[in-house]
Parts: sequence; structure tokens; C-alpha cells
Amino acid sequence: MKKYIIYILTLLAGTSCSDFLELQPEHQISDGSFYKNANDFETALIGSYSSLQNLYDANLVYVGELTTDNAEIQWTTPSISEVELDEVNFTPSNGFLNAIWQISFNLVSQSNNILSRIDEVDMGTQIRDQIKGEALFLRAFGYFNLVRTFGPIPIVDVAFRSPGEIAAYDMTRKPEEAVYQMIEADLNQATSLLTNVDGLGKSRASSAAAMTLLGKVYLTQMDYSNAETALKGVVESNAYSLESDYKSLFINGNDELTESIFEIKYMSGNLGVGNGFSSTFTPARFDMDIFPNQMQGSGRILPTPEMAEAYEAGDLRRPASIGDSVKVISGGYEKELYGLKFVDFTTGVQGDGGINFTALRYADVLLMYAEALNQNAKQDEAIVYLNLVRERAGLTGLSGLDQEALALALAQERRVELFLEGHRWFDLVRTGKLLTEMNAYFARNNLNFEVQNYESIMPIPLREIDINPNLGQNTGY
Amino acid sequence: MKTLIKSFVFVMALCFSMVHYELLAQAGNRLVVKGTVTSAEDGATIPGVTVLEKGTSNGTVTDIDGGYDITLGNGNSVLVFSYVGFAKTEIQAGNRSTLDVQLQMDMEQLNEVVVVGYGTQKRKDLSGSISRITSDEFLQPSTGSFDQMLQGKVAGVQINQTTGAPGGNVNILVRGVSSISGGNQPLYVIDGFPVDGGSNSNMRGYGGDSFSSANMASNTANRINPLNSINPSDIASIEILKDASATAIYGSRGSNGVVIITTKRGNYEKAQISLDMSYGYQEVANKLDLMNASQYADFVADGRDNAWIFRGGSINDPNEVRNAASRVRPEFRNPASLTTDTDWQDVIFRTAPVRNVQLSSRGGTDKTSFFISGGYFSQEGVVINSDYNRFNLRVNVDAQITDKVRIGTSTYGSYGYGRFANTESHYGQGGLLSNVLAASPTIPVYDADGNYYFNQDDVTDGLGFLANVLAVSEGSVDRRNVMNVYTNNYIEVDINENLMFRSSAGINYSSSNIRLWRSTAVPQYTSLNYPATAGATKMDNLNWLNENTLTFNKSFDNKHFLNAVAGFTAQKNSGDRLSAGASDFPTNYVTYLSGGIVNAGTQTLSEWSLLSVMARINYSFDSKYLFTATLRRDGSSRFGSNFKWGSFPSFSLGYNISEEEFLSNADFLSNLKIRASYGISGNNQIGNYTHIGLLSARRYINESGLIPGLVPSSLANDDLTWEISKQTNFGIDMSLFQDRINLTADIYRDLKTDLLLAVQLPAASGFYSSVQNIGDVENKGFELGLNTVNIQKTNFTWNSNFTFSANKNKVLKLATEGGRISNSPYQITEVGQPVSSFYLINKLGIFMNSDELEGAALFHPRTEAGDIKFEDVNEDGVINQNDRKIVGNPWPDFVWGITNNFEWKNFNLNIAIVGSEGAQTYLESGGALMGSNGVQNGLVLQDRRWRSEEDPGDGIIPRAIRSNHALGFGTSSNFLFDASFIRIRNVMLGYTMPQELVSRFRLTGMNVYASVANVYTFTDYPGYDPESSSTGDDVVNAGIDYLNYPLPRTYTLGLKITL
Repeated sequence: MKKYIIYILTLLAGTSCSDFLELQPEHQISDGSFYKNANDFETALIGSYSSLQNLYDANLVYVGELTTDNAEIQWTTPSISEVELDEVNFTPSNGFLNAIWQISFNLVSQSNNILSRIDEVDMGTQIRDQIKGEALFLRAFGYFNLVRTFGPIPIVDVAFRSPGEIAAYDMTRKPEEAVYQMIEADLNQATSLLTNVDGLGKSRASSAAAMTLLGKVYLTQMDYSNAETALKGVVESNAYSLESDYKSLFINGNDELTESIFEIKYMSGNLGVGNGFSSTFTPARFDMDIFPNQMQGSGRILPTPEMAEAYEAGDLRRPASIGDSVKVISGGYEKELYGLKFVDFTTGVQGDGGINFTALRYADVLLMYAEALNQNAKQDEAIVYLNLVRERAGLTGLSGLDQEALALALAQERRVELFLEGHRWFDLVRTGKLLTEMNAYFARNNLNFEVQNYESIMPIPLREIDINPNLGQNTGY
Repeated sequence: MKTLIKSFVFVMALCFSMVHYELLAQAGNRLVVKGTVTSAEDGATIPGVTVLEKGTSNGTVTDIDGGYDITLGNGNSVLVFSYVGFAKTEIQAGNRSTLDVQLQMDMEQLNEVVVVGYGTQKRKDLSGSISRITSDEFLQPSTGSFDQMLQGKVAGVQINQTTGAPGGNVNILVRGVSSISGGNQPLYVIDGFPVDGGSNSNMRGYGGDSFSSANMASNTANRINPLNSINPSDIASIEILKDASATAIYGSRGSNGVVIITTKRGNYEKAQISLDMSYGYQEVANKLDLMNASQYADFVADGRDNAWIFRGGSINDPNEVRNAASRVRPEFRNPASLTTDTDWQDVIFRTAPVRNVQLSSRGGTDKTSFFISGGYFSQEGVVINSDYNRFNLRVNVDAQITDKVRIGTSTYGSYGYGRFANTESHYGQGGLLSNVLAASPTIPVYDADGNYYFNQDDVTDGLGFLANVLAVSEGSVDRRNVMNVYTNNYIEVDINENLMFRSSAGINYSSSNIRLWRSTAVPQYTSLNYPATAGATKMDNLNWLNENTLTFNKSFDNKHFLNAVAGFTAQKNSGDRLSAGASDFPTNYVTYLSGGIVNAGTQTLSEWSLLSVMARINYSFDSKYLFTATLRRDGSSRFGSNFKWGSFPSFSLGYNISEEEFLSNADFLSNLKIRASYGISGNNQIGNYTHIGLLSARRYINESGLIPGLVPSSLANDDLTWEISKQTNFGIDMSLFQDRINLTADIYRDLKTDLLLAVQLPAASGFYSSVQNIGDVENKGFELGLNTVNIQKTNFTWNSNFTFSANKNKVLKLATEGGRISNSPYQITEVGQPVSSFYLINKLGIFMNSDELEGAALFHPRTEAGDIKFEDVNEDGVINQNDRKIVGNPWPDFVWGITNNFEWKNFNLNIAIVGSEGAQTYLESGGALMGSNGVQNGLVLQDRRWRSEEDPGDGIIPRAIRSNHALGFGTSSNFLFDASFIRIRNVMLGYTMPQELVSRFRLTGMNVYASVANVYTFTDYPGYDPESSSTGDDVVNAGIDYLNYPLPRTYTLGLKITL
């Protein structure tokens, strides 16, 4: 008797009521109900771009600056990850490296997700090309940061929809050449898909941004002829020029400047879309009175005394980049070296700076172009572009330099022009000067540290090796 | 601690010996009325029966032959005969000089009915493991929720009062931790309505890293214990279902244990009205001993001098040549000159009242019965600006509308509201307690003008970035209210004499509001004047339930008893949450969103649904052999499409040995039963949409401002399903000497499989982790409950109730390669170890002198004598993160409780003691309380620090030095402490007014009582309270104490009147 009742009830429950058990989150979008039209893909792209905020705010700038003779820590209780960067003593558990790995691969996967779905949806060719181009740019951007930081890495060009698909995928690391091939292919395709030079504003990928990145990619591989071609495209587009006031690039209101090619947008106002440069770059003092609310700096990336001396006399970039004293609450001033770029003096809330970050800008293009030209034995042409940058800084032009001297001048120029913009470490590695420059710097300052050759690529994050031991570690770590 | 346990064992042994003594010793009296007391069942004489002249203290007990004699005042006196296991009998003496009495077996007691899922069962027919506790056993005044009162009274249940905040959460674990990433709280079933227990009560990150308007709006921390909505005075009994044979009937919700709460109902008798009033006042049970002004000054000077020496300076260098961090204020060199000595704890602690008024009536006619109650509970907090209040109403009605049909309702409403103090976390996040503990004792509370004292120089000189705590307390508003309306209505139809149909429908609606505000006076780490922000959250939750059951009861030949239940239920829950945040407040006057600019907000709707069919069969043969089998099938919206439905069976067997013929002569043995059970239950506390691939909002910016973006945030998993618990239980129930000793013991093994774990995914996949059913955890344990009647004399009885629970937790399988999950910087979960074990660099002690530094492994090359010595686990000569090892876990080896109840004449004394042994707690506030930087004040223990090789202190506290090199960057066992304790939980003295006096006021009864809660705690734990845990129900971070609201000691006076 009871058995029959159970049968009946089971049938009732199991069949007619199955809809009762199908609940979708109405307040949140699930992957089954999204990616239906061009607008959805555009929204997905915006989500991708937003991860660049975190990439630059805390991570790429630390790795690009704190590791070098440009910057040091003042904060008295730094994290172990910060100390590792400052002392060039990387370990696989370094949090910054882990973040770069994760955010960059997130960019890659978000692009893969868009690219894998977009052809299934009806939309206009122009908008489809635009979205694809931007996704390809972001994928290349992610891979470029990965390959130049970690060397060989896994290549993923598909989107995963279930845990099983991930488990089945070949996640072994592929040689750097293979990664670079993919980056170049993506950027070349992006350049042709993105029809407008300047796209949808400087925070979105444009063909010029793709070409600039491509130039940097070639330069990093010391493929100077291709680098020259790519960068020439940007220069000859005539869409960009140097700002007359260098300082204006790094203060409030640096939106959509003519010099900017690709920028990371930030906004203050306690909306969770600000940056932390205001405290990262300024001294850790209880009594500092340079921000509203007497906000304190954290002294995490401060100019080294050598950096403060690296500028030529009269260089307008020096006062725009480095401060020498801070106002204190008691009213006076105290001597402190600190960074001025991207420091938002209008907000008193940590992590709420609203100044955009210049990820790719025309001065960088000119200096890279000059470098490619110099390497391609076109010194006369090269020096013209170098001097454009120098003259904007209030310095006289250089002349009559041979290839070696010009290379040196370009390296020095990049250091002072691009200070705090996350380039130094990669420039030193790219030009093969990491060991000589850094070890000389440590020796001059009686610092008992040494950079070794293997450290020019950084260790694969421990978390990734824990998950997949077959990944293998870079030699030396 | 050890000696305490020994003395406790001694007391227990004493209890037993008293029982024996008491059985032999009897008393007599002069003769006016005499007689013999026999058992109505078998005519045997009963020795030891209490014979009392009603309303007086005149009484005696029967002798070894059941005889008694007693001198009475007059013939109108009523004699009251009472004895354990028999119904209390009252007889008017009249003019009789001989009065023989037959006592009836107390059917209620012997046939004690236990509430099981979807029905009831007689205690003696039970073969599963169920603990029952009735209201008179746990009712204490001055506690807002019933769960606090259960502590130490139920074997197998670990109850932690993790916070002393009015209305605050209580953490309950039945038989250990069952889930790593799912919920661990048991299922509560209130008058048949299953509701979820508390969740999301981790306060550690409360307020987050920023008080941005978005964070204020998204603050989801649950500060009000959801079980507060149940009025403790309404509860008749609580059953705790522990083994799988008992819980499997609740299927996919049963594996964390089930707590069944049954409220009082009418009794078909003349109505009675009860008034219960109490008034109490509370103080902080354990204030910490902090350094006074001169100790502090010495500590600061010491720390700064050492820092300066570390930098290459000399102790005699004047401030002018020192760096800012090494300067010492001149007056600190001469501590005697310091006139101010502030204990900042006194500034925010206070004595606070707690009031409770409950009025109820129960009664009925022969067809209808009712229980109606209303009450008001109000508790001010021992920390300023905190309190909790509750109003509650209940109507329970049952009516026999025809011979075969009964209907009834349980309807309840409550409204609770209060202000909550953010005592937890760092003072840089507005944490009040770390503020008062860190603040310098050398500065006053108020300045000369009567304003809150604040001096910029203190900050500049590194006294710490502290705002005045009164300004912080007043500037932090956290007001909450919860309204709860609940009704569950049933109809029961007797289809024939064996078959009954029952259908019930109910709703449980709750609506709550949270209003948060931070004024500019509340600092945020490095900004003293952080802009004011506000947040508001409104939540509505509707839960409906329909249950339909058929119950079949039949006996054959008076030997075979069969009871069966089959049923079908449907339940659905919808939670709607609306929140908003505002900033840019022009002033601090208006603290509502409307005072600023609303610039953050969100709305969410979260739902689950559950369909179930279930059945249970109880069969007993000759009252000797008991058999129970249950089966439930659950379908849940929370599970992936491949595993929507699951089956949960259980079986249990019982054997009443004492019913056997061969034991019929064993008079000392009144009951002996052995039990065995096995069953499978589940845990569906896995989140509502975990199996669906979701996208998360990310905001970015273009020229026109904020623009919305979306990124994939979780991976779909169609295989996601419930966590499984497979539990085996063996138990024994034994009653000796006419039930004067009652013992229940259980051993169990609970294998939890398919535990949900966030399986780490390669970042190259684009996802961080995916929740999958991988992971096994085992709980093995032993639990014991012992009730004894130690003494039963005319005017004096002494009962004891002892519980003991030991549980051992072990992880058997994890998803990760290394068999290890990193929970936090402090804890890991590793195969072979308990969940959430502490994994830290192990502190060995202090380098007492420079010789000890020779060849020692160091954290920093410039470690000196007086610094901490760590264990070099991997023996590589340096101390770093690779030297971390498992140094303990937050789970007690065992917990116990003992309640002694003494009755002397009309007085009643109840003493409850609880204890816990073997748990460890990480004092996350250790950096503030016991930091050696010489920046903040701390425990007076710091005065025993290492000062020099000649004055090396206690070998535990390192030297003071304002440099981080000595402590290292990592977290070490320096702040990990044994949290074992023995607590005198409650002492209550009651007095029952004599009947004559009561009658004169036309009352039925009147009691007065005085009680003290949290009388004293014996512990070595240095924080406020060893039970304190800032992480609430969050098992992943269990055992982290970041300065919870301290537990109050409460003194209460109460009055209870029945008329």
C-alpha cells in the first residue's frame, strides 16, 4: 500500500513539478542568457578593459619600477612580495607575479570567450570587426605581458564551458617563439579589423594602439625592421603629437590627450574605479599634509636618490615627476623624495585616485621608433625623433652620435621620460643591460643584492605549479 | 586546567557514591499518620518516596519497606507523595491515621514522547540518537535566544557563544565540522517548519578595507542571530537529531544535524496565566589588564631606543639626531612625571540593564486548547551605543472540530531591533576594542574644554594613528531591525482507527533593515578625516511550505507494533535584497542616505525550491526488538541538471535487553537498551546558483563616465550536487536504581563525502576555481549523557546532569595535488589533519642571550638577543615561510557540561558549569595587544618582556623594538593560544513561595529567583574570552579572534507568578 503511495508521489514530484526546481538567478546574468547581440559583446569587452585597471594600478608598475634602480621602498612594514621585487629576489610565491599571471590570462580568456561566440550571432560586419579587433588586441596585450615576464607559457585560444573541458586541455608551456607568433598574428589582424585610427576613444583599442603594441613586441624580440615598419605606421598616421606641457600628461584632466594612444581610465569619487598611485608613490608619514583628510602615503614606490639625479639640469620632466619635500601638518616642509606622476592631490581616500594611466603614448612610440631606426643604422633619422622628445622637455637636441652612443642616449631618455610608467625593467631586459646596470647600481649603493641572468624572466607562480606540476619552473627558481 | 579537570572528576565520583549512600540511609518521624507506599503496577513497596505536607516544609521519606509516618497540622492537610518514575500523587489526609498509597507509574516519564521528524516516538522505542531537552531544564533569565542556554546540556553538540553582543550570533556544531565550503549550521525545524540557521556571521572583515559607499551598501554581515526571533519562553522542548537514522528523514538538509523546536500548546484544562519578569544588570565579565601609564612609557622608550640602536645609534643620543620613529618624548624618560593614567576600556564599557517581561496563558476546553503569549525583551550592551530589543507574540491553537478532524495553528510574530557596536577588527577600520587597547594611557579622554581629547603631536610622535574612541563610537551607526511573521496551520483527519492524514501549510516571512553610517570622525587606516558614508539594506524573505503525510499505527497480538509515515512536501524560499550607499555628506548631522549623494546600490533576488517525498517505518516486537527505516527523496533547485534528485535512506535497530525475562529479577536495572544505526543524509547549503555559469558586473569608464561591463565569473557545473554524510552510530541507554541513574552513550563515525570544494583551476583557463563535489572528511566521536538523582530526602534533593562530547575531525581527501588547501595566512586544510588547522611558523621562545644566537636559524640576519626564536622546520638554516608547520587546530578535543540542581525546602539552587579542552585560537589582534613595537599600548604581560640578558623576563615576551625585522613579515605561533576553559556558566537561586501565602493572593504559584550568568571562567587565554571567534559560522577561518564583543556577566532578579 505504502509502496504505491510512494510511487504515486514520486511520479507526481518527479515529472510534473520539474519546472518548480529550475530557478535561474533573475538578478544576475548567466552565460546561457547573454551574448545575444552586438551590445552584449560590447558589454563583455568593457568588462575586459576594466581588468586593466588592476593590472596597472598595483602590479605592472611594481614589477616595472620597484625592481629597478628607479625606485625603492620606504614603508617600514612592506610585504614579503614587495621586498622580493625591491631586492630582485623573486620567488614563485610572489603576489605581484601571481596577479600579473592571473589578470593577463583573464584578458586572454575573456577575449577567447568573445571570439568563440561572436560568429554565432547576427550583427553588422563593421561592428563585428570592431569587436573582434579589440578582443584580439586585448588577447595580444595579455600574452605580451605574460611572455615578457615569464618566458614560455601555456597557449589557450579556446573558451571553456565546463570543468571537464579545462581538465582535457593541453596546458603545457609553449616556447616563447610560438607565443610571439600568436601575438603578432593577433595584432596584425587587429590592425586590419580596426578601421579607425583612434577608435572609440583612447581607452579602447585602435589600429594605432595595435600597431604601437606590435612595434613594442618586435622591439622586444630585437626584430628591428618589423618594429620600424609598425611604428612608422603610427608616426605617419599623423594622428598623434607630443603635449607641449609634459606635466599635463600625469595630472587631473589627462583625458584623451593628443599624445595618448592607449590609456587606462580611472575615476575618483568612491566608486571603486580609482587607483592607488596617490599613496603608492608618496611618503609614508603620519604627519603629511598634502592630501585632503591628511591622507598618508604608503611609500611603496619612491624614487631612488639616483633617479632624482638622473635628469639633466633644466629638464622640465624632473619637477613634473619627482617632489623633493612635503608639507607637514605642523605647517612646515620636510625633505622627502616622492613621485608626482598620477598622484591625485584632490582626493583624500586611499585607492581613489582619478588620474588616467598612460599605458601607450606617443613619446614612447617616438623613442621606440628612434631605437629601431638606430638599430637599422638610420642614426640621422633616429636622432630627429629623440630630439622631439628632448625639446618638449626643455632640453637641447643632441647630434652627431654614433649607433652605440645613440643607443645609450635613447636608454637614458626612456628612463627619465617614462619614469613610473612601468617600462624600466622590461627596457633593461630587452636591451640586455639588466645585469650590468642593476649590479652596478647595487654596488654603488652598498646594497648586498645581485641580479643574475636567470632572473631576467620571473618564476612561474607557485599556485599554478601546485595545480599543475607538469607546468615546470623556469631555471634558477 | 589539569587540576580543575581532576577536581571535576572527583565531584562526579562523589555524585555516584551519594546515590548509593542515599539508597541505604532512610529517615523516620513520630506517628500521627502512617502507611505504606506501593507500586500500582506490581504491588511492590517503594522505599525512598518523599511524603510532604503540602504548602509546608514538613515531610519525610518512606523506609526500606515503603513505610512512613508523619505528624500533620490538621486533617485538612494534603499529603504529596513523589518519587522518580512515578506520578506525583496528592491525597487529603482527613481523619485517617493509616493511609496506604499506591503510586502509578509516571507514564509521561516512562513513555516520554520524543519528537522526531514528521511524527513522535516513545523514548523507549527509539533506536536513533536523539537528545531531548525540555523548557524547565534550560530556561534561564536574561538571555535573548534559546541556543545560548543549551550549552553544555546536550551531548554531541558544540555550542559557542562567539560574541557577547546583545542579539549576537551563537555558533552550533552537531558532531563536529561537516563541510569545508558549504554551511555547517544544523537545520532548525520550528513546529514542523524547517528554517535555516544563521549564516554569514563572519565579522572579521566587517566594513571591508574601505568605507566606500559601495562597501557600505554591500555589507552583508549578519549581526543578529536569526534564532532570536524565537521567544525562549515559548519553547516546550528541543530535540536534537544527531545520527543519520534520525536526520535522514530530512534528506539533503540533514547532515549537519537537525534541531527540532516544539513550542508550548494548550492543555484542555482550566486556563492559567503566567507572568514572568526579570531585571538584571551586566558588566564585562573579563576586563583585560593593560599596561599603565608608567609601564607604557617605559615600553615605548625601550622600543624606540632599541630601534635607534639597531640603526647604529647610541641610547644616549638626543631626539634631535634620531629619526622620527626613534624619538622618545622627554616625559616618557621620567614615567613618574606622568599624571594621566587612562584605562580606555573604562571609556567604552559600562554596566547595562537587561529586562524581560513575558505574559502567557494556556488552557482550553475539552475540544479546544490554546497557548497565547506576549513578551518584551530588552538588553543594553556592556559596550556603549549598543543594545537589542524584541517584542514577540504567539498564538497556538488546536481544535477537535469533529470526531475525526482536528485543526490547529502555530502563529508567531516578532520584532527585534538594536544598535550594534563594531568592536571587531583593526582600529584603522573603526574597530572599537583594538582602539581602546592600543590607545596611550598617558593621554586623557577629554581635553581642558571638555571636548574629546586629540592631539596631532601624539600622532606625529607615533603614539598611533588613533582617533578618540568616543568619537569613533558615536560616529559609527549600525542599526538593524528584523520583523518575523510565521504561521503554520494543519488539518488532521482520522481516516480509520489506524490511518491518519495530515496536511499543513505555512509561511515564514521576514523583513529586515540595516542602516549604517560612518561619520568623518571614524578614521580609515591612514586618513584621520575619512569622508562620511552611509549604507542601507532592506531584505525581504518569504518561505512557504506545504506538507502532506499519512500516518499508520497498528498493533497485532499486542506483540507487533507498527508505525509508518509517508509524505510529500514542497518548499520555496525567495529572498529579495535592496541596498544603497551614499557619500559626499556636507555635514555629520543627517546620517541617512538622503543627507548625502546616493551613488551605489544593488538589488538581488535569490531563490531556492525543494520537493520531497519521504517515508518511515517503525516496527517493534514485544517491546524488545526495535526497527526503524526511513527514506527520503529530495529534488532541489540548487543542484546541477545531472543530479537534481537524490535519495537518503537510513536504518536502525534497537534491543531493549531489560525487557528480557532473564533480567526481570535485576531490580537495580530499570532500563537497558542497545542501539545501532546507519544512514545517509545530505547537506544542500551550497549556495543557490552555484551550478550555473554566471557573469559579474565590472565597471569601467569612458568620456561620459561610468559604463557597465560584464565578465564571466563562474563556470557552469551540471554535475554539482549535495554533500553526502554516511553515518554509523552505536548507542546504549541505561537506567539504574529506579531511574536514579540514567546514562546514554553513543559512539559514531560520520564519513562526509562529495564535499564541495572550490577546486583551483589553472589561471590560464580564465577561471580561478570551480566548485566541485570532491573531498572527504571524517568525524569520529563519543558522547555521554548522565542524569543522576544523588540525594532524595524529605526536604532536600540533589540532581546532576552531566554531558561529555569528544569529536575527532580528519580530512581524508582533497582535490588539490598536494592534498592541501590554503584557507588563509593562518590556516590550511590538509589530508590527515583536522579541517582548518593552524599552519604557522613555530615560535620556540626568545633568544635569551647572544650565545643562543650562535649558529641558530634566523629570520633576519640581524636578529639579536631578546628577539623571537623560531623553529627551523626544514633545517635549511634560515627561517621563512617554508618553515611553517601545523601547530594546532580550532576544534576542542572534548567539551563537557555539568548542571547540579539542589532543592532544599522551598529553595532551589542550580549551578551550571561548562568546559572545553584542546581548542586553539589565533589572537589576530595579538599584533595590537601583544605587539613589541613600542607604538601602542598592550597587555600588562608586556611588562614581563626581555629587557637585557640580565633581565630576560619570562622567556615568552620578546624585547620591545620599533622595527619589523625582529618579528618578521610572516605570521607565527606567537599569537596562537590554548583556548581551553572551564566556565561557571550560571548560578541560580530560586525560592517558591509557600502555598498558604500564595493562596492568600489567589495565586496558583509564585517563584522568585536570583541568578548570575558567566560567573567566572578559568582559562589561560589572554584575550577577552576563549570562546570568542570573530569569524562566526565561517569554518574556513574558524578560531580567529579579532576582538569580539566581550561576554557580559549578568546579575538577574526575577519573579514568576501563575494564576
